[in-house]
Amino acid sequence: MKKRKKDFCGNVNRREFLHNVAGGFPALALTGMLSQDGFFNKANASTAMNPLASKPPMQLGKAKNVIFLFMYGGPSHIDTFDYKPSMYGMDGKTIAVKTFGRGGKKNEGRIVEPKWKFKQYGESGKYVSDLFPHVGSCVDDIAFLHSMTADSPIHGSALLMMNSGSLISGHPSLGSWVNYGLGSVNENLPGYVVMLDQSGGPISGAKNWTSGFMPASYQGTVFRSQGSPILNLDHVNGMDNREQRMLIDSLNHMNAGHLSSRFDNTNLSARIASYELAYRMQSTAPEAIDLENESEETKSLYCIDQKETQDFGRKCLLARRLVERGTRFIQIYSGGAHNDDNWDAHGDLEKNHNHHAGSTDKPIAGLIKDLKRRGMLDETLIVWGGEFGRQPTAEYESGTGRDHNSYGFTMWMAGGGVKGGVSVGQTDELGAAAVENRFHVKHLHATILELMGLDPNNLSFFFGGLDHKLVGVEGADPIREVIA
Amino acid sequence: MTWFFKQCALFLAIVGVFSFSSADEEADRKFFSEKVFPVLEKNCFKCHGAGEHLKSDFRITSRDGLVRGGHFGPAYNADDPAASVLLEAISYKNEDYQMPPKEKLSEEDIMILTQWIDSGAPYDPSLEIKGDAKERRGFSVSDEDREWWAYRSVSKDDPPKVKDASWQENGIDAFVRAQLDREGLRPNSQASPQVLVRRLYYDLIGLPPSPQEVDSFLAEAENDFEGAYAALVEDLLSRPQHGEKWARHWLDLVRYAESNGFERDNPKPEIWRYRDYVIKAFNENKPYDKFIIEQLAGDEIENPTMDSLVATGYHRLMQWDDEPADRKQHVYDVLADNVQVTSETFLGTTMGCARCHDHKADPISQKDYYSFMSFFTGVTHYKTEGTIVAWAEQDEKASFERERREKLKSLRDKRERLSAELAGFLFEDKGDLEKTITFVEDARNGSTDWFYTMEKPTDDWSDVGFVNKAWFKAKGGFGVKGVPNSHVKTPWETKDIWMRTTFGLTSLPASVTLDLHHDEDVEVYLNGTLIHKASGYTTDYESIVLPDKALDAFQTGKNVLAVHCKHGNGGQYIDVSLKTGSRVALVEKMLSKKGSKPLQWEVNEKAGRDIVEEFKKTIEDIDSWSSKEPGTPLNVVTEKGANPGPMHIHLRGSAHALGDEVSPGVPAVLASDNSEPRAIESDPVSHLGKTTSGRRLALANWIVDPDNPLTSRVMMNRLWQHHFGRGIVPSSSDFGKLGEKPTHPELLDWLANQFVESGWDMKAMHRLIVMSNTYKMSSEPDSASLEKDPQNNHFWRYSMRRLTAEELRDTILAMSGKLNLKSYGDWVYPPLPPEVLATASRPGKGWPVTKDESEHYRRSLYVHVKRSLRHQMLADFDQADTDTGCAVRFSTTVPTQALSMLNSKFINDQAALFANRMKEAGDDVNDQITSGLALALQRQPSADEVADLNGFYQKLKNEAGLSSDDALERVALLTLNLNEFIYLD
Repeated sequence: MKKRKKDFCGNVNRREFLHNVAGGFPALALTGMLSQDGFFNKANASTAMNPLASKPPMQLGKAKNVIFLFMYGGPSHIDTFDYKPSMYGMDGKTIAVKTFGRGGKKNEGRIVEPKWKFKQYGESGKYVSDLFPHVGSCVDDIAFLHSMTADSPIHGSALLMMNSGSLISGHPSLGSWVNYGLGSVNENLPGYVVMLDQSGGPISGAKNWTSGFMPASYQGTVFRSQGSPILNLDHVNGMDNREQRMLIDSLNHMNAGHLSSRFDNTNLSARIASYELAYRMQSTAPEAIDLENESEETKSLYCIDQKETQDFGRKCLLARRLVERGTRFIQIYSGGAHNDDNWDAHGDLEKNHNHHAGSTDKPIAGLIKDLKRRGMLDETLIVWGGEFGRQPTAEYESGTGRDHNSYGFTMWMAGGGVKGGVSVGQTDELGAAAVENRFHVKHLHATILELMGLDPNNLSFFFGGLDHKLVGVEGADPIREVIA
Repeated sequence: MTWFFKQCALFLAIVGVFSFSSADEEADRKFFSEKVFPVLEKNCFKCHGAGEHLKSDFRITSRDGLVRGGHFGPAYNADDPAASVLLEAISYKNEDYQMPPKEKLSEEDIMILTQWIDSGAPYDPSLEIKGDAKERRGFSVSDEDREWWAYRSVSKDDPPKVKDASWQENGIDAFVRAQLDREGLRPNSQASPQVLVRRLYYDLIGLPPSPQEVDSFLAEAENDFEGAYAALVEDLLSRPQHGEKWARHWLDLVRYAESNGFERDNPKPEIWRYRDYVIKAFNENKPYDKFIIEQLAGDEIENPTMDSLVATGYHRLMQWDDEPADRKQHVYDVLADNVQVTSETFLGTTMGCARCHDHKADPISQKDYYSFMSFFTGVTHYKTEGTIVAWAEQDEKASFERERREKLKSLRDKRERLSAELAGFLFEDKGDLEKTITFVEDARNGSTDWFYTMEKPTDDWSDVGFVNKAWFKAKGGFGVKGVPNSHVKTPWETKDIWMRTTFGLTSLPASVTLDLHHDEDVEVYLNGTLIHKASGYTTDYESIVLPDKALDAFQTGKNVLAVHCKHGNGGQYIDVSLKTGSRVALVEKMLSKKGSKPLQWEVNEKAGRDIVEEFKKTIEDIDSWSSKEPGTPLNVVTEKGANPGPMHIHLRGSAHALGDEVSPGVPAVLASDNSEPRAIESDPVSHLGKTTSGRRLALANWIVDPDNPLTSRVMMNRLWQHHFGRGIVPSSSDFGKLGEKPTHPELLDWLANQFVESGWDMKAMHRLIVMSNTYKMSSEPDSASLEKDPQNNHFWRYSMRRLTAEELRDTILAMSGKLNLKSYGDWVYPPLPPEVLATASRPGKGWPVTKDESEHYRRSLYVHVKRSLRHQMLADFDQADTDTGCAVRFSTTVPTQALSMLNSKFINDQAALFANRMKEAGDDVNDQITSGLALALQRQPSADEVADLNGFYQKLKNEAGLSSDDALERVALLTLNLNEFIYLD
């Protein structure tokens, strides 16, 4: 372990970094170290105190922001984007197929044929099911990954894997890695935002947006689409801006007195500055969720005017507004809580998927189209998918419910330097398992980092005697087939 | 391998040799270059030899590489080519390694490679890409490795002589001063008594002194500083808050948490006793060696005590998935977690990397790693509720059970009678009583199909995801004829029976009755959660109304009811039913807090208050008698028995790919003169009716051996770290090559010696440190020193530090006067903001706010640590994450902290109370402000400071139109936000 090329935290400096961050000099150490490593220009004085200050990427990347549309519960790939024509007419047939879900491992099952029809869309002629006609109209901007695999078909650990690359909790989530690598370009808003479903959070709650063993500065901030967007943004007793300004002015004055005989301590000045940032956040965050200046046409593009789609549509529009304001990583959950409150269709597949696709199809298409017409799609990467897919066979003796499937499932990406109108990888003819060009979750992560200008195999954080990487010790290559 | 196969292999090898030297050689070469090479080049080279990264340390581009193999061993098996790892990998038969990973090779390509391997895997030398000659996976410990500073024996050198003898309070100062002199640095002068009193309070008890405590210290210090200082140190070391402050540091190391994590994130019952054990150990100044032994093996020592058992809760703190994708692997994930925490916490050695391959930086081999893991393989795997052991004397138990049986019988009869009477008033329509839904039926009414076994199943037998392979299926009502009121359907004559059955739910039931007839001890689980437990036997079916806590275990979809019955003497019998309603349950529900109020008034009216109260009292008595245990329940370690079974190296960390067998041992570099781990022998021990392997005790004894170079250094470094802001070795859990080197190695050794010689006396070491002049230096900047040593690497001053998350919250509560200094006991749930609760998948569930409000103001150490739902304020201020051990916390400064300190309900509630306390100083606002600043900063404020705050106060009143009370609240809020309030000099 002598010398490594392009190590994100160079060997010697990395140790110093850890010591300093822990000892209380986070930002100075970070910027100092990174400039020594030659990746980053010297940060200017105003950002030197903020660990989230914007940093130039490690390499050239097209995307500047990510919007991860997380279909929690696991949407069925063969009912949405993975067309399996030979399955029609096979409903009810018992066949030999290896599956593994919450009901354990099985060697045969009763086929539930895809419950929706597929149609071809766009110049690429991509088949998309009737669940997603509007997303269908965007296929020429989308790259489909049909051969995704994950290590677990159980929600708890599978969510952790999709969000942090590990089945065991404690590892930083994807958004934390992006902010650690790139920082945020807007200090007045969080760089990593999570918007949850109305029904509740996903299983394991905050573990899905944790910064794990990294400093808490890199954790996701839960952002609400209505009311007060961020925790503690509003004063509980209604202190107004003017009064708060008075308070901060007096506080600054007294803190300045305290600082004068401790002039060398940058933590004290950083803390003084953090009150200004907080003060500004109180106006920038509500402004970000205020849709008043959005045209009616835009709002209806996201279908905010329809009951079924208004919640997810609003979040998609907010995501665009946050991207405009510099938030690096935004995750929106479709589905929350348990069972049919999310895509986890164990019982009535049709009812479940009609509901969840119905509330997301138009808003997602609206988001893609809006970003595109504003010239933002090139730099904004959209990722769509759940923690796994679903089995081709039925879970129970009767009914259409499908159990979980991590042997093969579909995710897609759009914008941010991704090729449009392409599909890579294949599952077998039932969609039971990926058989061609198989990709693991870590390849998806590698692709996202690569598109963001971060080298997935060199972006590392030293902890517990190990250079941790999002893509694991062995590393993983990006999926080149989808990178434009 | 049998003799026969050996002969065959020999024969094959000879054939191979012949084929190389014959004319076939050219054919082989041709076959390789035309057929094999293109397949390898296209599918394998990128990761295995020709690309930038060499995966699995495996090079397929040369024959040497192929034969040497990678982490799964040699890829080519000359003895039995058909069994070569390469062929297994490309066959895709083993889920753990399918190569190439992207997709299976075509049948034709597989044929080519199979033929190639079968014929001895010849290469065309001109096409080989050979690797670095040093590329070998062999492991050896060099002399240089042994000479690494942390592995050398602790030096016994005396402190150096320094010129300025007046500065030498003790040995610490000699070492520090000598280094300062060498570096041309001057030590800062001593901090003022004012600064020191605050520093001492926070360092020793984690709380601020009151203004009275400050005043009395200053008065005494005026006459005799040394005496007053020493007396204060003694006073603080003897307070119960000392243990609480230092326990927090320890709990960070062992990633102490009180829930399991993952989907259900259930609490770990009784685990708080471990937290209390740590606090008590520090308060009672338990010798550190004993502290280590008890945590690792408190059940294996001679004469275990309740305390020493509780200490083994150490093994139960990790995250645990009740529904892992790979059950076998998860067993070792949990063990690996304990190996990591143990090696880092006690030995400052990061062994985690060696789980998959030999450590790349430190001289720790994979064999070292798995030998070390062998110390723990006897430990039973975790269960939903942990492993609860009741601590009681034997005769205490027997008489208790007799009494409980009689009591419960008469109480249940009474409940039946009263509910019948009350039902008459409650239900106009008697039909309501009939509408029960039966989930699981007992043998009196037709019975249910159960899966059962009489062989002890694995620990996870009650979990939802458990696969009851090889269990039998039969009708419920298990036992022998002759047990009173039994309905035997299936014979059971053995000692134990384990049974499982399932039922589906579309909605969660509001009340559930469990009818149970057992002989004898029974445990009933629902979805892995223990919902009822009873010891002894019954003489008839008894109805148990499940408490609300048990109802939480029900889930929509599939539910698993699992029962274990253990038989002692006489006839055996076990039968169970589970249904909604029952008269008793319905009556109970209606009269409960959640029941309809008008109906309750009506019943009170008609039946009379007395009978209603009597019914309620009876219910309470039944609950309390049912849950009563003889003795105290402890969540502690248990072992499988005397022999834990074999342990193997896991190739690439996979529990499905076993390498060589290993036995308990410690890393070679620390203890042996060759490169093999040193074996540590142990004998099984039996205490309290349980037999364990004795391995953990053997490990503990090796760790606390005074000759172990790491144990004393590591712990003294931690003490230093928490007094000075950084350790002498800043990476305090990593003394290896990737860690940082000590800035004062001789000082660390001297401290380590003092520690061992004192009999591992923790308080003596605290005393030694805080009495030194080094500790008493001021934190003021000095331009000359700053220029030479801006990071204070040589300790020319004391480093300022921010309060920890817990210190901050506790101090805010101390300001408001709400701080509840009650020590020890069960965890508490203070209210959390609804926005935070809403992030859970079952918002509000799993966080039942503690009823007694005064408990909300306990020290932060007692706040329940739930893995998926953290206390937002503590998390914002860098409280340690609980999934991995944390030796050094971050100290970040971000705007969300400011928002929480300005706007949250918590801070504003406390500011209002703080303002009220300020008013106790009289009506004059200047006096109020003065008293507030004195409380918050633990010093008398200057006139300018008071004037500044008064200016703010007046401005709020005059310009913002606030009332005096509101304005003072804002002054209080501002005070709590001062940098001086949360930073220590």
